[in-house]
Amino acid sequence: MPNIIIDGNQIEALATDTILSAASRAGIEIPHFCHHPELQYAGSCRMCMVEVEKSPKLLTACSTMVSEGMIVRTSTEKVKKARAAVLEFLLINHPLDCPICDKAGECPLQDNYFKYSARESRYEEEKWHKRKKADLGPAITHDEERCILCTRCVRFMQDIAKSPQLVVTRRGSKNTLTTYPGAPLDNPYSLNTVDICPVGALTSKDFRFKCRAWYLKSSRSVCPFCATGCSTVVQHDQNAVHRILPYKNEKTNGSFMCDYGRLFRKHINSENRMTAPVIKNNRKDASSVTTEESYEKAFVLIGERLASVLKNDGAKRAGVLISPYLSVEEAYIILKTFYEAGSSHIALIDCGEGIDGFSISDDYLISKDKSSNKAGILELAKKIGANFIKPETLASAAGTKKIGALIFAGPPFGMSEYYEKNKAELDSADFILSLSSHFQAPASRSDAAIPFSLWCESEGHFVNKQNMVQHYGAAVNSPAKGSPDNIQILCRLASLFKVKTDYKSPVEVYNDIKNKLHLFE
Amino acid sequence: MELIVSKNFNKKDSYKLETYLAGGGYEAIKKCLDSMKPADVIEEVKKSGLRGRGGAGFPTGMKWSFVPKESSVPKYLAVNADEGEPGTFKDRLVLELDPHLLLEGIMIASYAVGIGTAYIYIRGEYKKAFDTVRNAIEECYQKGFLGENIFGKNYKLDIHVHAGAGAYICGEETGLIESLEGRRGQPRLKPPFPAISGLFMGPTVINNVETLAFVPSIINKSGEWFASIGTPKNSGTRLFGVSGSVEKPGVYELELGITARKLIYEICGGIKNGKKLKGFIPGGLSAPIMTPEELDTPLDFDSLAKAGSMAGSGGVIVIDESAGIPKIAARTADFYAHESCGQCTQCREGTRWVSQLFNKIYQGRGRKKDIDLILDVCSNMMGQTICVLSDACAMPSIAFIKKFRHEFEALVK
Repeated sequence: MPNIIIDGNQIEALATDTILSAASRAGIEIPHFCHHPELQYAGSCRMCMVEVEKSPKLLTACSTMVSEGMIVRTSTEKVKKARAAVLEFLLINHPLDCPICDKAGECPLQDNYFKYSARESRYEEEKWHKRKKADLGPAITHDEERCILCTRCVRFMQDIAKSPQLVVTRRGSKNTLTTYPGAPLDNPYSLNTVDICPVGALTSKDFRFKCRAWYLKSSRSVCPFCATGCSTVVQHDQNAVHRILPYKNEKTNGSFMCDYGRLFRKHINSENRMTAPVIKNNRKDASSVTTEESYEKAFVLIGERLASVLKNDGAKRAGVLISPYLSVEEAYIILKTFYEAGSSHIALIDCGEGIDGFSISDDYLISKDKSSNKAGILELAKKIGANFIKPETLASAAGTKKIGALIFAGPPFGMSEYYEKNKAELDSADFILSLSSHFQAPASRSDAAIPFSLWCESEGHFVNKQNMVQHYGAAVNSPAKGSPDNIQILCRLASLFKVKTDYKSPVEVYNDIKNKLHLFE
Repeated sequence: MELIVSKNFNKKDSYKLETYLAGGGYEAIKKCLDSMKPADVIEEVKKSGLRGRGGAGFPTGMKWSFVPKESSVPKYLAVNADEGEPGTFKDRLVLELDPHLLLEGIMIASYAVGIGTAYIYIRGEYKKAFDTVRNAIEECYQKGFLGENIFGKNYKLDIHVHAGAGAYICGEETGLIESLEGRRGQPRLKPPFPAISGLFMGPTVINNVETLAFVPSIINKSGEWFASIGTPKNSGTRLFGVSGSVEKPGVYELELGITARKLIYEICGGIKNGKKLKGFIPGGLSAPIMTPEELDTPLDFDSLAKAGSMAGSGGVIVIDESAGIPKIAARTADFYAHESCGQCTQCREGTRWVSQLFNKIYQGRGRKKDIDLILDVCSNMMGQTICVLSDACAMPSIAFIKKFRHEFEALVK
């Protein structure tokens, strides 16, 4: 453990420390651009140079290993002059179009400039003009003029994504970041390069020019895309989600996440979202009338229709298909309801290739299992004693009239594909109810559909494939105005099956799961 | 004076193995293999005081001794034949006229350091040199001078040639290594130094062509003999490539310590067409310019460093009174702006800025403040970057202004 002194502070560093990592752990800021804690150092931006006793030249803090007795000074006149010089050099070919730049407000170049220089440029010559919107791939547009050639993105693609799709070509100040001919930047981790870009050069096509960074509010969340359960930050403004970013979590995703998880945003802001309960007077007749109803009236109608279909058999003639995207709280109420009501037709949908039908998976962050909470729901069912039947068995039960009422619980991801595949059998059910975020099959083909919030609109827990129980909070409100939350909707459904559940919030449910079932503590 | 590296240049078919053998070639490597331990070879080279002829003038024996004797990974020799410094054209003659002298030097260096594979990185434009060296290597393989059990002894050595692709920066030793490994030629951050981890992550020696060409003679005639030539700490001869405004430009092998006056006025026949000398650049373009008042400076490593310039590559560029320094300065900065690899901020942006400012002044669009701005920008470029290309642009730029400020002032508003 080398003992070093940085700016007069005695620091016990790790043998593996660089000056920069030791300083940053001790809370001493050393500005930098090309350095990123998760990447191999490049030592090329020269912003992190510090004075080290006995060294005649300034040294890059990002690449200089600590040694016993090292004395480092991070803000001498010599260091300050070198930093201001680097900033001046970086800006001479930088377009300074901060007013229209996505990065403004969260830009290390902007921040460091104001902090460590803030003087007027002496550069009066013609700046290089490069391409302002070079198309690098499906997700990314590159502003070549803004690029400061730190190569963070190049190293990310090479070392972390293991897919060296980015390269610097040409030389000197003509250096340009680009892709290889005919090989676009299409790796599923490409959008991480936008996050780690210390300027606004790499821009996300999904976010480009949509919202200023300083208007965004951030809510901690968990990515529902697959069983990895990456920690995320959902960023939103005026109840619209604009961006989903990774949140550093060493246990799951490090500092990164995949593009699919980020682009899941499109499902939240979809025009197809349900905004009010929908009731059909006769599903099997194409000319039947579809009406939007209040929640109160909808539940009364649903109660009547259920009663007429189930008659004296109650839940024995009802089946439920549970989505693995439900939180443990939501799944608990449903499982409890149907188990206690005596249904033997409870199925958990297998999302197979997942939300958008991707068969992709890897040994980095994208799991084969494309669902956010399968592990949690399986665990709950085991504890409650509920047995799952196969989704196909549920469909044949509907086809052979073994059951009369079908309930689809959860977002349409995987559910839609299942419905289309087994439509003939499922349609034979006398009554179909969907609790769905989107008005698409099966919700659009049901007798009744109730708007159901997505994960970022409610609170809950997911259990990932490592059996980590992860909490997420509500970031925005559901587009269904005046909607009761998912828990209240499920309690209401339970009451139709004469199962007593009286939860006001996900927190109460979670407490019960912890205290009564001793699960997910 | 006895010629050492250029002794065979004027022989007929000097590049052929038979010519080289007829002149006593490959005796030094045989002597090493027969009767010297690797450590003895290094000791002999250390005694000679031989310093690198590529530019930095680092003691060659010491460089070899930095390489660990035991290594779990292969060690390499990379021969820097990427002669790209403007005003430098001396290694080319060794490559084209006496390739076997270089090959023997490579063999001895490899034996001394325990190297089994050597690469010669030849400047892409040197097509003839490339072909000549490749043929010479082929001759050696056929004779059993290379490959397994060279000269019948229990020692293996392979030599490969590699052509550059036109980048000055690949003459920087770690840029050369990157390029040899097949990557974009840009210098590496040090440490680790190449002697510890260089080519293919093995301990690596990088030597200039001319440096290695001295080695066979040192082994044949002893280190003391070599050290007796030249001046103390600047021993031996070197190839001076003289270009520009002299009556007899060319490559001359001369003792270190010869003054610029003697080189320019006696050896090279004085300034062309009887003009007056304005200045001379003593060691390739990155060496700061010197004035006629400095003509009596000995052209050796230490004297030139003391005079604020450098011996560099031995390329002496002579400038007469008819040339304008601002134009030369602009052309110089253009070169470095074009050749910067662009990874370090100060170099990437600074070289272009300096080039823009010099061009503006030279074209009559400059203002007085631009002159001092260049000096300040240059000061921000020095000692700040991974390699010294940034310094190589800044040092001569500062000298052009400091020594010929009046010429710049005459052009600005």
